[in-house]
Amino acid sequence: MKKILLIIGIYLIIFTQLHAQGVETRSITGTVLVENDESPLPGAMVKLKNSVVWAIADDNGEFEVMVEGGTYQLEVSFLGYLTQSIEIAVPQSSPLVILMQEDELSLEAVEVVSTGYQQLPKERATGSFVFVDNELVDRRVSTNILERIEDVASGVIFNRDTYSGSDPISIRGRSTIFAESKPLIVIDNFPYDGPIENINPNDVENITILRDAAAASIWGARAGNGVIVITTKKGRFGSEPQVSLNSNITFGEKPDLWYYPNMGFDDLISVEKMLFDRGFYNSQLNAAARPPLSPVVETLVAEREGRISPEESSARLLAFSNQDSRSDLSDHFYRTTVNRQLALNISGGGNTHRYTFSAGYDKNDATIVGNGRQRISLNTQNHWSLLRNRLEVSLGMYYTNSYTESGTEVPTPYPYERLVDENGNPTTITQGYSRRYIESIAGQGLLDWSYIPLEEIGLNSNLSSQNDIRVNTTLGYNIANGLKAEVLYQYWANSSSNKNHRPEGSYYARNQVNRFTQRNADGSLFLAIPEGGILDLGMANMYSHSLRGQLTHSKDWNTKHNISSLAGFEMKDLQSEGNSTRYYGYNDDLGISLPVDHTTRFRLYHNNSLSSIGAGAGHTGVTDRFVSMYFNTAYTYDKKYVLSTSIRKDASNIFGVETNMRGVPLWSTGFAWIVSRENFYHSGWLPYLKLRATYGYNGNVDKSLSSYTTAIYAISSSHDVPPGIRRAIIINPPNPELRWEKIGVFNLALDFETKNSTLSGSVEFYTKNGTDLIGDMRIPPSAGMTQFRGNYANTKTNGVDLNLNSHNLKGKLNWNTNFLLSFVDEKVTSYQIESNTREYLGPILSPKIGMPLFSIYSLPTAGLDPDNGNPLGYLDGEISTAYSQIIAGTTPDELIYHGSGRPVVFGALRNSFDWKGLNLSFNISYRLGYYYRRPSVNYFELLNGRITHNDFEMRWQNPGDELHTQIPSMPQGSDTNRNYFYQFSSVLVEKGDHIRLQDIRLSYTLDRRKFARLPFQRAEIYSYANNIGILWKASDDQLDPDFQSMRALRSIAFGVRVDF
Amino acid sequence: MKNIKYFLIKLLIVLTLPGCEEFLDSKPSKDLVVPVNLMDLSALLDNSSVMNVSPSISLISSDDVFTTESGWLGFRQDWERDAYLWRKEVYEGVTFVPDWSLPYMQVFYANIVLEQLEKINTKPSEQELYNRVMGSALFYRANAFFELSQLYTPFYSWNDKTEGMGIPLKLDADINNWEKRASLQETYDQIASDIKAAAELLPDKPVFPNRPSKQAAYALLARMFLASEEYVQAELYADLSLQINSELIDYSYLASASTMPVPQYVYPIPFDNPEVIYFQQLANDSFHSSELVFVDSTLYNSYHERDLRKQLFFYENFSLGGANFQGSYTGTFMKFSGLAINELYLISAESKARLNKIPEAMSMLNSLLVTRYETSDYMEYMTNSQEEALQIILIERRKELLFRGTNRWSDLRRLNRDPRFAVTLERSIGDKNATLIPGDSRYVLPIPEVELDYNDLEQNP
Repeated sequence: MKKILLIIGIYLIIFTQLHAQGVETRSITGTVLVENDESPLPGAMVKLKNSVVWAIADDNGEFEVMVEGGTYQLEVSFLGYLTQSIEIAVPQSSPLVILMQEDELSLEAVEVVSTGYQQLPKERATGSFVFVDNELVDRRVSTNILERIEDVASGVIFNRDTYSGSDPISIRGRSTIFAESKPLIVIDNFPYDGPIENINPNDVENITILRDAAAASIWGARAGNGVIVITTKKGRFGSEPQVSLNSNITFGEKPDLWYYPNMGFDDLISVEKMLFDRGFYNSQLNAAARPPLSPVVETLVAEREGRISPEESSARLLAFSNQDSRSDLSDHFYRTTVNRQLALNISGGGNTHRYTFSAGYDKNDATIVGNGRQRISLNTQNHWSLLRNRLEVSLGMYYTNSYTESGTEVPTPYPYERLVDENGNPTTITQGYSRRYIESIAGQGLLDWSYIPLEEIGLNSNLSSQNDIRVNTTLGYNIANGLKAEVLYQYWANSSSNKNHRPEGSYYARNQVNRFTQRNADGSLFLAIPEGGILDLGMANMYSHSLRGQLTHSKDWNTKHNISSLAGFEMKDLQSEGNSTRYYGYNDDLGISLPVDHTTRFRLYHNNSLSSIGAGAGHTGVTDRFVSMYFNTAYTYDKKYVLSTSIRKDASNIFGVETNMRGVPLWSTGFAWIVSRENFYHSGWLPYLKLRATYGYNGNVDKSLSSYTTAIYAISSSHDVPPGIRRAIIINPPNPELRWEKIGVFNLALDFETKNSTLSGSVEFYTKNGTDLIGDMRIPPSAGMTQFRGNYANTKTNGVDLNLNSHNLKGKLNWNTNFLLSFVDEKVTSYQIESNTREYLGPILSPKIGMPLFSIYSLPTAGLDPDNGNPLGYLDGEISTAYSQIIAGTTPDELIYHGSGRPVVFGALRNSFDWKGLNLSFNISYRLGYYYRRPSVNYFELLNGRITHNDFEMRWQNPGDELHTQIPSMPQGSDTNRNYFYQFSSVLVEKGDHIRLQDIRLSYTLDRRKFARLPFQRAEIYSYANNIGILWKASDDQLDPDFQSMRALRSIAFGVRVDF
Repeated sequence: MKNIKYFLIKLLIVLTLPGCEEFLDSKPSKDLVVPVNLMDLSALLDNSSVMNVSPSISLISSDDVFTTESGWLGFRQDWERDAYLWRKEVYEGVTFVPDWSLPYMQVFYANIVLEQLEKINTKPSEQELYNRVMGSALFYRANAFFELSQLYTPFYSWNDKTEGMGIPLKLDADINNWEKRASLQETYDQIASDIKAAAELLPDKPVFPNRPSKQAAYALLARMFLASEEYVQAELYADLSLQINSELIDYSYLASASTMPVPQYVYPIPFDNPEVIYFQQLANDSFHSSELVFVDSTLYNSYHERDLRKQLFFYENFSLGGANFQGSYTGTFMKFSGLAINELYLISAESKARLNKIPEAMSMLNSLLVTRYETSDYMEYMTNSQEEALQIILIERRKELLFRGTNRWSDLRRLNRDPRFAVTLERSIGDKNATLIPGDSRYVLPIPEVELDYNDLEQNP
């Protein structure tokens, strides 16, 4: 570590010496704008004629060239624009404004991508970047910024399978198994540690996605999953104050509770009746836990015990079969949602100062009545250019405050249980205990123990609030021509609190009081938990300091050579602390609570078991530290060849790892060749052609592992003996060989553009080799653990990303098409555990060599038995119904491998039409080449008296049915192996391929340039409809392959954006 | 220009100075530790949900319990149903077998502690704590090996040095080192030497009942020697243990305690009662909490009407099929499997009878049983015949120690060798009948597949 510091020090000193000899310098400053709409032209090259001095216009089109006094000839050039020549006398009287005219002959798309460390014209990049510009960022209407890149960035997929909780977004597949699998998110140069929900999309200027080693390796050990770089809006020098207002309202659909198909209630009731007659419920009738039984079973019990007549009983059962709890849930607990969004942005700048100020307000309804969220964001960003542009200072402050209310909990009634009676009055439903038991103890002096869901709405409050502050400062000094020193510092703090109040009278509070009610020997009652509400409080404070010092250097010589370098040092310290506590007998009006005894083990009233009163105390503390060094350089020859290298070393406080094992040096190198600039190149139809190739390593971290034995402290629970003492649990056996994961990435790409930009785009091929990945190894239990995690796995991913833009029509009617296609083929190439058949079937992630990480397997089936409708499987090649032997005897290799559980081919097709200010665009997304297991009738559930899938109605019932159904008959008794066999049989695996009309956007823009009398510069009225529906799917399963429990809810937004 | 140089040099100093090593040495989460000091090691052994739990398969397989068909069907796990009918394929397809894995996890914890203790230089003021932690680790390891030996190895006679396969004796914490099966004799010698070493180190009595003590070590030795028919040492260690404390609960004080809103599930004997030497309970499997699991009816009927245990131990649930057991020394439905003073009285009494010290044996038994009756109700047992004394003691042993861990299963394995006490067990569920004759190979459970899949051990016949 110190060596690297030393090297950087030497680098610093050498360059300081080199450039310290200059005489007094002055600067030429100015802004490069596009002529027709005066938008900035970042990346434009500003050059002194007959000199090696040059500069590149930044994000805002601004540039600065260091010169001595005198008169100069400036040349401003940019691909796709006519080169301009301007004469200027230094010192200049005012900053230049250069308007660039489009070159009709060469319209090459030029973008400036950001790595979080530097801005880079895409033309000079060797790595794989996806740039999402402001127009695309603003295309969608959403509260969350990440949703804005869905289906518009190639190689990026939003996962929707059962494992997607750990990696909701993947960039070019997943190159880890158990370690961190989310991409790194960088906002304004620093990784963002807070919840992404705190970022207001209206403040975002653009997003760059870094996909390969050359692009991402500057982020070193955190780049393994790709990097998403978000850049917020900045003001511009020399521009009038600009006020922009965006307001929209989104209407969302109510959840469709009938989406998941359930069997008919009369069938369910007859099954319950059969189970009852068989004595299935007998063991539960008086069981210790007083388990709740369904209203049907309670009716049958009442009939058997003679409490109601057989007629009454059948009348009740008939009534049950005709009522549906979903109607009541839908009427009383769910709603259509309204989301409101308002955003204001003011920006501008003078000669030496530019600024932006923005404010946003979002108010979103949850689909559950009473719940919702609001967010206020306030940002300000200032940038000063001082000492004749030698010193640059910027200060940004970003504040977000949000509130989330989730006090309403949706009850889980039995399918035919009503929440209201015939007159619409709220009624009691079964909850927690048998209704018979609750009735039997009436009059014993307890609090009312009934649960009336409708009366709970609005009673409980579970409020989370959050304050998030980010302060971002930059200090840059142009030491001499081409050499710049920068210090960047960011302070981030997030404090959140959660207040969950269940007041006196709420079911939760009453239930706790009753459970802990003690009966004294004389029959009197003692309330171990006093009457009153229960208040849970949680607080968490997090903060981080990030500091970066870097030098950038750029040098040209002999007009053909350019070298740009960047070297720096970075440190980060993130700390968080959380505490939680619980109060009993709480009264919110008075603000007081009552003490309880947390150490005594009380007998619970309903079952005599012993338990102490939960204290709800918890404390957490996390420290996350990184120290990194990086160096990055690019050499360009004759604007045709670019050679880039990057190296970075990270070290972190991964627990227990020897200091010298902590760090991992990661490097990359790349080459680009702009073929179309060669003299021999004369293609008229393809005026731009660039070839790129990169190779290098990215890293990944699993902070949960350690090379030493690691233990975690906990307090023994109230059920343990003795309760409430400190104990330590081993979470990690020693592993002295632990290393960080390394992902080697090779990327080969071609960028092209045809004449007049009719067709442009890129195609990229890549290979990712994940080595030393964290994987499990099974060990015999006699060794002390059943499995063990270490660097045991390797994976390999091959893929293609294609991005095509075409201008189909130009003129009055503009028609553009954007087509994205990604192909990902990932395979596990080395893994230590040969899992057993059950594990490969799921649901636990069980990697298998030669197969995709997420694979769908099934048990081979031979239809149904014509005599009894039993599902038939194979045992040693023979048709069999010996299910336990089939499951145990089928080897993993005999399982049917269907394919990947995640899309292998995916992408989107976006069409956009412009006509006289009217814009219509729609995005069609597709996901192909993957499989999923569809739900079907589950006889284990059903024969335990629980409702199941409506495949029940299509089951085998009579001989001959096997010709037209694959759904087995209902077995006599619950047979877990038969049920397991069917749930994991090949008949339930479906192809997930589908095409979806994701969204439509329609807008109309009014522009002062066309309507001179408008009171504003520009206004856009827009409407956006999302989750419109599936156009085609391969499977005839009625459920959406990507949304099996609840379909994606449709929404429509209306809004207006005005630039004054 | 000078200013810049100054700034850069300063920047360099600022960047180099904070020692990276210290900065990166801070631990990532407050609750994480690398267990190195005695407090951490003690806390590892205090993890009672690992260290104080024992395999429960021996109880469901023993003749203390019976269930009805619906009770049997209501068991949550297949292996519970199979174990009830003594099926050989009990562990087939079971990926996690606590009966096997849990004791070895205890061994792992103990070995981690023992290896770390070797690296600690103790201050004189900490010597006592050091000894307790080391003694505890040895005790836990021996206890785990003993529990395993009762399930997975054939019967071992200490004096005959019975030949046969023991268990893998894992004595280090290296999880990459996989042991093969030791011989039976090596297994028992290891158990005995570990406990004896522990007894030297441990304090007489523990602060918390989950922690081992000298008294517990002696009691465990007594239990082990009884199970291997070494009655001289069984008597010796039972009496040594009783010398430390021999207090019994007077059940007549417990009898009037039930004032619960519901008479069922009262579990009147709390875990912190004076008879408990070392607390341990059976792993929580679904049959423990089933109200359709009853005490064997012959056993239930063998209690005298005035025997206080009959009311305290059982909840008469005859409408459902029998009497539920609620007399566990845990105070809950969980079954006690630790060491208690009443067991020592019975070990001592039996050993004495075996060694033909009949009067001492009967006196030992009577002093236990008098606390199980209202004093005025108790009629002392009197006999001079060794055979009769043994008969009485073994019946009373069963009545006192029912539903207690591996005791009954161990007794069956031992007593079945003697035709006078051998029993054939029979069970039926619906049309499925099962019989377990004395010496049946199913008295030795198969080594689970999850072990054999990775460690090439010889399977039991």
